[in-house]
Amino acid sequence: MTAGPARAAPPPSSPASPAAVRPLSLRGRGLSEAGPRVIGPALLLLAAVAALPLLPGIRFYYLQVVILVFWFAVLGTSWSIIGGYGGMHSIGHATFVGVGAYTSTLLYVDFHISPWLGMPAGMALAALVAVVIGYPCFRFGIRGDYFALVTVALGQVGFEAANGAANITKGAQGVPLPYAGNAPFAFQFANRSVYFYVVMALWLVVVAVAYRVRRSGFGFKLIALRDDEVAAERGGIDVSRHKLLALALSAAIAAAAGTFYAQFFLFIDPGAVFGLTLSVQIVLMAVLGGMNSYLGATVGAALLVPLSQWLTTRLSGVPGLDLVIYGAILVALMLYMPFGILGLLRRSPHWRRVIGW
Amino acid sequence: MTEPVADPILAVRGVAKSFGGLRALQDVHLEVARGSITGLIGPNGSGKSTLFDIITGYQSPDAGEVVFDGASLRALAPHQVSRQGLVRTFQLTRIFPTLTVAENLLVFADGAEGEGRARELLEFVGLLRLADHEAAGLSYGQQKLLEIAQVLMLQPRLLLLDEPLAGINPGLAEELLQRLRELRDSGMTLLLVEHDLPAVTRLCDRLTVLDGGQIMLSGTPEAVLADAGVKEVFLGG
Repeated sequence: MTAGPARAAPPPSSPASPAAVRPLSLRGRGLSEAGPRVIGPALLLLAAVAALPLLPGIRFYYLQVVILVFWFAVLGTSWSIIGGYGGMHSIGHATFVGVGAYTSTLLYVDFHISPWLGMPAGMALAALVAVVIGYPCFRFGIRGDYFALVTVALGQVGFEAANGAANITKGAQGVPLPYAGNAPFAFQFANRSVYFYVVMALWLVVVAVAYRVRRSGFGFKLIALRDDEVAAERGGIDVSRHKLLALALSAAIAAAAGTFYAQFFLFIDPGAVFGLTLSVQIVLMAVLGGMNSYLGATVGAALLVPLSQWLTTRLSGVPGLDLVIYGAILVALMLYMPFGILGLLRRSPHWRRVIGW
Repeated sequence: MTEPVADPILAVRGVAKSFGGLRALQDVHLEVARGSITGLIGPNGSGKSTLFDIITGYQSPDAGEVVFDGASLRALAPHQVSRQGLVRTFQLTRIFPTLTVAENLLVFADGAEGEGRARELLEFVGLLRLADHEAAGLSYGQQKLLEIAQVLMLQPRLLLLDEPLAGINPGLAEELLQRLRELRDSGMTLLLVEHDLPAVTRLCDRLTVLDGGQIMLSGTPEAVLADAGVKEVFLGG
């Protein structure tokens, strides 16, 4: 192979990188490629956040904001697996949160089963719901806006079911969880800081899962089928099976977050965990931060959750104005930054490997 | 008019396809000799792309069947057809734009063996030095070469190429023709649709002419181009 055909037309922007230097690899060296100058400060930041509950005299309100950041980051990251990697934009993810929250809570309230066991039960049930909804969608090629509409409908069905089946779910009045004091086995902690570490651990696990998925062959196949389904099929990829697996995984993670919500607030109702508002918020976290990256939703949540909390308190005299401002900021971001914040880094071969674009 | 092919790798038997009232293909019989480069030619709308779609499972025929290496492809989904070793390119290039050039290949085979093959193929099409770049940034011709490298990654036994030369500059086209001959010489069978008749004549071992959804004739390029009926179809009589 002497004269490569592409020499006829090199793209003007490409720096001359000697190809022999770097080994070709699907996975690259991953995070280690970021180098100590990125990883060092990142670990410091993580340690600083982990030390927040230890600050003397810190108001729990601030810890609660950080807890919500982690909680939304978990949900947005779970959404990114099917929505970002797989390109199937679900606007009904609250359904899976609701299934998780209600499963563990009802098992606890009605059958005295520990929420630690109710959590995997809820995850399994949410994955099952995902498969039941996803199979016909993916089998018959429902994608794009149509898939989004199906998931909106799913969200409404979940909401109405939780409202309507009052003999099981207590309907619109919601389910309070009996306060058990300090009962670690019942997923309740008298020291509220423990919730902080529980949700932080959940976040770490979920980000690690999303990172592993992104770098796996499965993850690359998801990205490939999102980019071009026909080419993916042509390459021998079973498109609907891959989408189904991604949706089930995503749903299971969202359900785990649902159980955490129930245990943290000790009260759930259909509006809070099955509502369209929650579904939309989940999408926004991921899209704002950059839904291709395993870190995108975390960046999105770290910005949006404090912003919305601040707007709510700051503008409490004018009901709804906070939502208007929130919406306007988002519209502007989407117009001028369609790939999200981390998407700004995607043109750099180095950074795209670090953020897992 | 059509002589039988010894040891065909692909046999299309009595395939018919209609879209509403339009009969795109009628009773099409086609055999592709193992280890050959076979050209499928015919005017626009003669049914070439429909035939490609049916062979590769993207559309199902109303009648007839496709037999690949002795086994019927009936009811196989496109990804299953590909896994049999029958792989195609598309008239409109299809790659994964947000993956890098290297990832476009590696997605189909990772591990040391896949990396070695990807490197060879990128060298083969001259894209190795762009391996780390997003595929969306390639020129049209480069994307086309990337698609060819990508399908070769799948190690097909039969490769279907839908207008491989369209939109490629002449120098590059000559290079590509040479690459296709090398593939044939390495034992791969190629079936291609192409409008560039001089190129097709030089490249192909056999030609098949499709007109109005029917096979008009098959034979060596010399025999086919000498046929009065074919001249009429292509030169308007």
